[in-house]
Amino acid sequence: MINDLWAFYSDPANHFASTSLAFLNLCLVAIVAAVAIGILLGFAVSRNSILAFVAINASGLMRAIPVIAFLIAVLPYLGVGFTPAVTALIILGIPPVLLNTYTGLRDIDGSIVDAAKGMGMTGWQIITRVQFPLVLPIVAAGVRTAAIQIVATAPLAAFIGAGGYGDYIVDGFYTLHTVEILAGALPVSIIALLVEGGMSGLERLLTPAGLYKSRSLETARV
Amino acid sequence: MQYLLSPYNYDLSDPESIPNLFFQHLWLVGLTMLISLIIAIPLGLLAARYKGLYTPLIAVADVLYTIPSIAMVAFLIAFTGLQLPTVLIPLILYTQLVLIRNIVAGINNIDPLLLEVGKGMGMNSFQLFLRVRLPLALPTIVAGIRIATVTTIGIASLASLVAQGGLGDLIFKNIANGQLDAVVAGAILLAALAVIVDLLLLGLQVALNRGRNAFAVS
Amino acid sequence: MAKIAFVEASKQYKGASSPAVNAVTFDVPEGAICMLLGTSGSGKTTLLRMANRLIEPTGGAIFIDGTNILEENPIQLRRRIGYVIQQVGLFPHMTIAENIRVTAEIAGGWERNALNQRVDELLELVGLSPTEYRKRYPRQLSGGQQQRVGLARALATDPTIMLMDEPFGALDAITRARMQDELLRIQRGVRKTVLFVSHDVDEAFKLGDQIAVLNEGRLIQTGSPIELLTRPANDFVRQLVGADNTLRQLQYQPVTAALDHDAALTMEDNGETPTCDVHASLLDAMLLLLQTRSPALTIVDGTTALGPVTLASINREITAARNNQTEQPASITNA
Repeated sequence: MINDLWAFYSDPANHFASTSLAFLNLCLVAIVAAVAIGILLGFAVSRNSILAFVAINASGLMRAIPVIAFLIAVLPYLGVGFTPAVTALIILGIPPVLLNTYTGLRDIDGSIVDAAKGMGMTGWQIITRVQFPLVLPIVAAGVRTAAIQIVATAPLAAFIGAGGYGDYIVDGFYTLHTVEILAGALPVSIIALLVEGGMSGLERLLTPAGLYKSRSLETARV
Repeated sequence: MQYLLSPYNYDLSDPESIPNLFFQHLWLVGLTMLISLIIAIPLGLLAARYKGLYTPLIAVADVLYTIPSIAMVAFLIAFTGLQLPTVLIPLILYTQLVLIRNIVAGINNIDPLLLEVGKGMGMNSFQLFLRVRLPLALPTIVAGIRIATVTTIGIASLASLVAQGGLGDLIFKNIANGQLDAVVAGAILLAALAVIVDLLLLGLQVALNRGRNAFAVS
Repeated sequence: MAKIAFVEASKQYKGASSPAVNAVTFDVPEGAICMLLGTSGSGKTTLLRMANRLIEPTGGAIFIDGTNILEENPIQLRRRIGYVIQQVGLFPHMTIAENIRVTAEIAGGWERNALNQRVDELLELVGLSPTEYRKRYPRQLSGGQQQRVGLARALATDPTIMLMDEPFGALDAITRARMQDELLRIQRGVRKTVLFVSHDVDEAFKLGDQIAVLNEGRLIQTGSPIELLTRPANDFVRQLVGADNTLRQLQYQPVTAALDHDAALTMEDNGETPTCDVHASLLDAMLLLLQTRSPALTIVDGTTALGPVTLASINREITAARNNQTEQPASITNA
């Protein structure tokens, strides 16, 4: 089996290097964009209760909708290829980051912000010097959830033509070629475990000892 | 929409009709949850009782949960082929983390004062479990079951890849030949099923949480 | 026979340098409220919780109705003892009625209708309208109301003994005073033997028929409030109960202590002397004297006049009591 896999990876016809690059590219772009948008939206909605209500409930609803259904839903509008796939993955990754940013900000003791205002900080200074450092570990937990979800879903995106290891898996399923399926499943699993390990380490690093214990497991995913 | 609205697709004699695929999907989800609970409840109760067991158990469940479901199905094909276990095993393994975690949290996060009070009025350990621990833990446990069930509804679509039917058939069998209408119909049904089950279980959760803040457990 | 008897009862925790409860011996008579008074860490709660074996003694014995409870099944024991604590601990998932019923249900032997009737009776007893509160949940009640339910729950099986661990400690001053009055009112009807932990001297004096003062695990003194006031066993008790506090002495000394027997022989009742009930305190008598500007009061027990009390006789009694303190300490145990 190992030999078969090795033969598969080293066969130039299978383009292992460029497939790997495509997969990593897809994941990385989606994660970075989802985190950036999620944090920005989190800060934005925390300043307006109506926006917050809408964002929280939309995110909650998205958690219940199966990822595969979600990927398909964008298909008629965005077509196939890298762009629709990465867009779908970004939208998928936003809710956990947004929710954790928002709840993290909401749960900061009001007197701390009051004190910051009292010593004459501007709105921007309050965000960068007070709120952001306090909310960081909670955001990190959301980022971890988002990243793992994106990595886990990226192979499925091959069904809508995103490329990457998903191509091996999809092709393998349709041709019932076990080695090819495994050739896709193996690196995907390794990357998922690496991301999980790395992100949980990062989360621990950012958490002041014994201060927060927040990890949401509420995210449904495929 | 055309696909969903066409009466032709509701012919019960056709095994590939919408109702048949729908019930196939429900059956798979139901079977998964049944076996998952049979495994998770004793494991959770043990882990709640013996603290030393909790960390390794959760670590294993966490690793299993991290492996992408499609990858796990792919691994299993090499061993169990295009059979029910190939999709059933990953589905069951996936539910364990959230189920065990919530069972343990539900039982261990009970205010020790209430256990003390129960003991003080002369409850034996069985009465304490039945009248205090279980009713107080149940909302958290049901919250876990809810998340696990909704997740399972989504992942169960992979059953189609190993020829086990379900709503995934509408998606995976039609996506390759570009029948988008059927694909979208599958996605809509899948999403609707997940949302409805989510709301039903949320209702159960709130009902069980009587006397306390109705939405305190999510 | 004593209802509850502690005999050399001790609790030594592993690793602790001194015992939490150190060879405590005293009796509680049937139908009395016995206050366990002490600062935090004095061992009073530990002692209380040994009485229903939530804490197992490491030495000595505890008798209830003459039976050593250490030889009894702890679960059966707890079912016949009412237990009330400061945090109340009502079950949040049960209605008020269910919370009260649960003690009777686990003990068994109650018929359904009788139980429902009992719940209503108990709610009435603690001053909550059954129709209004039966179906509510604990979180819909105020702290004081919750503690009323806590009391009703402990009384549900009609136990002869109640253990109360600072039950009113978390309430505001006004509610606390009201609950203390309620407890006394209920106690007049039900006559339980009550062991009551408190760190509040005023509460101990107000409720206690008997007070047991504990310090660092040892029993320093037991006695009635007035015995503690007039004959404190040592400086610790004197400071704790405020034996030097004249106002408290006036408040807790019965008016009969200041009866002027000599004057009784010489004074003639001209019918204008105000009267004072025999159960009043010295403070009541003094206030009446000041208000009426009368030189003397006549103490009456029903229709019988017992004799006069004057400001001079009150003053004499207080001075005498204070001089007494150091000379003849009463009922020192383990001091």
